[in-house]
Amino acid sequence: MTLTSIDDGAREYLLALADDEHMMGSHLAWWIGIAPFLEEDLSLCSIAQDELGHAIAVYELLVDDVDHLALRRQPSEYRSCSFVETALPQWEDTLIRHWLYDVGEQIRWNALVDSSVRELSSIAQRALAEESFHRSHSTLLLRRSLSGSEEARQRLVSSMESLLPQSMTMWSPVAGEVDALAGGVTSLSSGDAETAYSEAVQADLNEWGISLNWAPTSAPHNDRVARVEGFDEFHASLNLVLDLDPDTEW
Amino acid sequence: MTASQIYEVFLKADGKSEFRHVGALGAADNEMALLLARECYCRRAEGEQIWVVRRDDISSADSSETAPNRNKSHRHNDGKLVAEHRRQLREGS
Repeated sequence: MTLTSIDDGAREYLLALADDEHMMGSHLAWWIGIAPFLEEDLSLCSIAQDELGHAIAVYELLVDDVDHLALRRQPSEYRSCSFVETALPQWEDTLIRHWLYDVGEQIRWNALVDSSVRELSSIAQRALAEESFHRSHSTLLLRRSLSGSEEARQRLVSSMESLLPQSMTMWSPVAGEVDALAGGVTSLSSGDAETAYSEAVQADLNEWGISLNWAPTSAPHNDRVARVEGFDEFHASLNLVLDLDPDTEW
Repeated sequence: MTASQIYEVFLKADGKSEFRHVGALGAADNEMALLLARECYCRRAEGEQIWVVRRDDISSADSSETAPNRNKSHRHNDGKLVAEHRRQLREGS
């Protein structure tokens, strides 16, 4: 149901969340049929479906034509952060991003549970129920993989070193955040969320006995209006079938 | 990581139904097996409860051990013989 009661600032804020979910879901779905083992193939695609479902639920609050908003916008009109836009064809990178993103996602949905927008609050509660599984999945799999061979551990730690700084772009403030906070749409600023995120990530690292030369850096402010290199190709791939016959009713 | 082991998966639907075998999967440990069983066999809520059992922990008997119980038709009593016997007794009396 499209909401008319929220202002443009809050819309922009929610669009950033939904676009992040959309990008994550789409990149995870890329592993269908090619994940390292069948059980993981199914699990990851299930998680991808959940993330796409979250995106759709929020898009539906914003517009009537969800497909158009999700797929037919110009790249410059997306508000996803660069962390979720990057294609990661290496399995260990996908696993690390899955872990980091879901740590952050849990914090973001938690901030919406008491939203002044009732519909958003109920979406957040449902999303959090699914997120607890996503978190278990990523942390269990990571914990087991880190205790495997030395090569496995090195590859995973190296991926963390590269992706952890990038993950801070999740907290790039979006235009409209001030309005969303003022209107009670969300209860957490991106700055506070960033702090909570850094602490949660550090707690996991401590549990796994990993010491990284990593200091949280402030997220860039213009990240969500710029697209990463390769986004156009990825966007085109999402539209590949639709472009064959744009007038088709699905 | 511990090498992947094979687990057999059982699901129980709600109510009084029993646990039923639904398939198998590979996982590193019990915790992972339960997690993966949920997604591989219960993603459409096919069950309310899940059991996973390491295949290596299952004691099994093959056909050579079950063979002696073949051809024991007397253990398949469907009541017809008894019914016939009682009918004859009734009619004879």
